[in-house]
Amino acid sequence: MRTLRQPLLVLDADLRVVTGNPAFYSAFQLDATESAGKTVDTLGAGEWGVMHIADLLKNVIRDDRELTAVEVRPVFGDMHLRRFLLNARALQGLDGAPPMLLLAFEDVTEQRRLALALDATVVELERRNRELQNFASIASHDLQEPLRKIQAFSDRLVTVCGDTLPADARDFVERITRAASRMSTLINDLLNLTKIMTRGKPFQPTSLTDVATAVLNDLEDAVTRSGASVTLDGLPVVNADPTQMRQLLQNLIGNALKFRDTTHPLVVAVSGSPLADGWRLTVEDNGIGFASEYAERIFDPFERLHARSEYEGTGIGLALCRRIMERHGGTIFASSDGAGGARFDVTFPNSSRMP
Amino acid sequence: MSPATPSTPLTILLADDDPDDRLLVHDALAAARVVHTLRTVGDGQELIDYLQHRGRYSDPTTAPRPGLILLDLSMPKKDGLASLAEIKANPALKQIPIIVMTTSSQDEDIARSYDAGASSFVTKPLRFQALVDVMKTINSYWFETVVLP
Repeated sequence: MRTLRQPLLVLDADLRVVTGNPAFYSAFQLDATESAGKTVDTLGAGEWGVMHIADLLKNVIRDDRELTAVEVRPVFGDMHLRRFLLNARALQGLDGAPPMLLLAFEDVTEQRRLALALDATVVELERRNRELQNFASIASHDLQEPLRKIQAFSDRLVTVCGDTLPADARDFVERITRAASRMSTLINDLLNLTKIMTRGKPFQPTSLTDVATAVLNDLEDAVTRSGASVTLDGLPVVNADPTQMRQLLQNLIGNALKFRDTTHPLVVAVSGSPLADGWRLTVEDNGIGFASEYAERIFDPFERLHARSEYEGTGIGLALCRRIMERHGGTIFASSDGAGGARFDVTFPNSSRMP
Repeated sequence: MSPATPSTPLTILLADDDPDDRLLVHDALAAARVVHTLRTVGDGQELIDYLQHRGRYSDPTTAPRPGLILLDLSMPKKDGLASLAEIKANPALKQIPIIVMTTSSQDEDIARSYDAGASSFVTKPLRFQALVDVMKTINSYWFETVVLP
């Protein structure tokens, strides 16, 4: 008892202190000698911070029941406010001797404090996240308004004054219009990015083979034009939002078709493999690839590695993929050795494994 | 009643707080060669006042009953949805077809508009020519195809 780090106290049947361990005296700032023989009520002239502790303890002896995890908030001497969980049980006396009570205390002050702090942090984070999502959707909505005006009045300028406008004026208006159009697309892309979290649907068993097949159907023209050979192999069934899985594969396979190397036939391999704690989905191509130093940057929203005139798109696709995988508790990474093509590895966590 | 013909021009009432949008609709109707008269109000309260001939609209000759209402959702004071609900709750006014025309293409706005009794919902297009096409289509459908009450 003396060695144990948990405060322990032994009382007799009249609730007088028989003995305690050093951990007890130290935690409750009591003196061993002074405490001996004192009843639990009068111990150290302090407050136990729990109703009727004497009655509770008497019941333990009377009914031979155990107290478990009773919270006490004692204030003794210079003790700072601490919380303990109290277990107490009766110890039957040997050879007819009267029973005694063993009290064991566990200091849960720190645990309680951390739990409260954690709850508060979670609540705050959730609030901020909601604010951000709201802000993104409101901002995009309000930004579209003046954009529409820029577009519409540029159109009017050309329609109404087109004949009298010099050639470079018409050119400038063209550029204004194109820029406004691009801005509109960017705003919509941002909105789609936030929608992944705010408009996500509940997860359900989703066959990635079915999703990939549907995507290839949609991309039929692009597949034919590029003369690509696309294979699907061993794709798993995962617990996921089917619409978002569609978005994911549309972006990955679409990218493979877009960033092909026109000097040789395009081969795209979409495959699945089980992991110790989930599934991996891989989309690999033999296209133009990318410099490996950009492997993380390409997942940033609107990050592009080529001029707009070379390859179309706003650069939001991979950001969407990453956000989708975040929602699913998974990951997505890219690798490339430059000219050898690109490879995208998507992992789904164990919770998405289907039996 | 037979469909409207050019010899009986109707009134199209536009409720929109944005002067640019009022101008664009006016110009689009002209470009679409719609013969009917456009009148405009700037917010939900003015809309109700117009329809009920109150305040500055107490003279019915300056505020003829519209054959069609184009309604923007995001207006100050009384907004589009509130106005829509109020009009549809009024036995004297609820027959007037109302087309909600607004920037939003959000599903909730669409659903709420139809729930409140809108005849149709149009997202304001980005390009002017598209707006002209919308006006042509509205004209062709509501004034040359359907029979208005």
